[in-house]
Amino acid sequence: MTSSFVRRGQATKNVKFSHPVFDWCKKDKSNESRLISIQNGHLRTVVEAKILLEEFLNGLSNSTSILYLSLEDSAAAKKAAMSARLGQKTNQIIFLDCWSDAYGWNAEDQNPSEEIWRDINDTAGLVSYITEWRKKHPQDAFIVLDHISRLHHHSPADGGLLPLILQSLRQEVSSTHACHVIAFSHTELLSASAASALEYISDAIVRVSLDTTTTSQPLVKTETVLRRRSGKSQVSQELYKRTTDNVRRLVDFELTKASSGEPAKAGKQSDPTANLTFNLKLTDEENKARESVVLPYRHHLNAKEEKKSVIYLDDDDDAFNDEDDDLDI
Amino acid sequence: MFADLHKILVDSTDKNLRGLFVLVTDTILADGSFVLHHYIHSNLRAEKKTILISLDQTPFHYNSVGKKLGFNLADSNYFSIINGLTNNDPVCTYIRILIHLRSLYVQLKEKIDQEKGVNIVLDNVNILYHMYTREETDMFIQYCTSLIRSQPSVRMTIGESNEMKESESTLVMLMHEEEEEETMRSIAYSADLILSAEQLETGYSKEVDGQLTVISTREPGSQRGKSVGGRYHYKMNENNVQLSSYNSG
Repeated sequence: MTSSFVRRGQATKNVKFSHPVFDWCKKDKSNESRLISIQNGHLRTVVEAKILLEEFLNGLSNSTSILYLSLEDSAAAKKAAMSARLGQKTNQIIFLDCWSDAYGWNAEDQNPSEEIWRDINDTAGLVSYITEWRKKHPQDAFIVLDHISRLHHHSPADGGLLPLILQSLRQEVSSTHACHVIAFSHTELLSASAASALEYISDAIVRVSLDTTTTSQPLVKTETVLRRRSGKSQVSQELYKRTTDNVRRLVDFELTKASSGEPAKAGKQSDPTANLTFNLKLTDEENKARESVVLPYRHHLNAKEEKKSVIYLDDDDDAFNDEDDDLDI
Repeated sequence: MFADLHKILVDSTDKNLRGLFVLVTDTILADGSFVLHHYIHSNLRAEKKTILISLDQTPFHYNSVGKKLGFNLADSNYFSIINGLTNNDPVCTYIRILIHLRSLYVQLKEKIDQEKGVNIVLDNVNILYHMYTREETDMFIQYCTSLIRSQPSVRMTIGESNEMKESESTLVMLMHEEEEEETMRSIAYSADLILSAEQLETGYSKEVDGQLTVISTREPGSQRGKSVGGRYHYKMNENNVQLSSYNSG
């Protein structure tokens, strides 16, 4: 998938970004709501995980409706932060601010905004809101929960809201269009049981981390698990790097190489013998001479086949049939 | 105020200027309160309104530190303190009689409503966790963060240079690492910038007082495109703090 966006004051630039989840969503013809769980594993990868989430949204078609439940920042701030990367696509997203006044402390404010959800503990009300929104947007749609760890923090039941949302969406009759849910989470903030429960109800799991082994610059690694209805799971790893533009807020991920089942290697492979003070390379002639040498342990390959047998010469001293003198004791 | 610390934190604002939540954590052997003093005095120097919620130290302590750094907090029009330790000041007693932290939030909100570029300093949040439930304290922190993120930014001189630049509101909060790990992590993920003061891994040293780890969870907005982060050794002097980088990770 090629996602495009407009840089401020610059020409439109195409940045290639692809991910197995995109193909998986495209190929899925069941029109059933799926849960995609994007999981950030560490405090140091918060920014990268957020960019990945934005790349996901950037890759969606213009006809897709998106409802964004902001649980960690105000809708206005989230919109402003996302507009740099998503450009005009931000207008396609409907934001619901579930953070600024999550407990209704500012309920008496003069200018209440419809975009603000004022009772985060009202799970049933939130599900009703989402259901109503879905009825108004019957086409292909995505609902983003950013981030679910905060909901879990307030809800005593592990992953209590997610199953309810999925259940209500699946009850909706939609023969032609699917509404998927993207649940963003910080796994460090979830209890072990909650993290496990979230993975069990997810259809796709994308774990975000940093890879420092491949190059000097840390790459962003995603480990993707696609769980099929048949019970089979497909696991893959993808590596991405950030472009090195001066304006960091507009820098996107750039896919270096994605593979199925194996970690990708970034860029051209470097030659480890390039800067040595001595010569480790061979000329063509030296290579030929090297190959023509028969190594000692390979001599037997050239030896003629002959019949082999074991010859045993009986020795008089052999005491096979002697009786043991000690038996009489 | 502290030039070395200022250099490290200068890129911490992003272009959205949505309000910066700075979490300072420290341990028994490594006191991180110097970061609070840095934020108080650098913002006062830039004539930015600063409100200190003092739950750990007396106003006398902050005045003494201020005088060492060349400021008289008592005479500053930009500085106000909410003292949670004493009953003498009628404004300051409500911490004790507070039924719900919401009252404290409402007071704060009234103080800074429509102010530009406000700086709220909370010293320290552990007291709140001891006095109230975790849920109540988390709510309070969330609303304080929301409050500073809703304040408009202000154009002011930042640091030692005469360069004018947009400055956002800040919430600076000190937290001792005595709370449960789960609570610490939850707050850390809410923060935009985390400064952790710790004792040296190698043990006591005369030359170095501790190490400061800086982690930013927001995208940098500086033109140079450098991330804020890294690890530094710090040495506290009479009226200054020296920092030196020892590991970029």
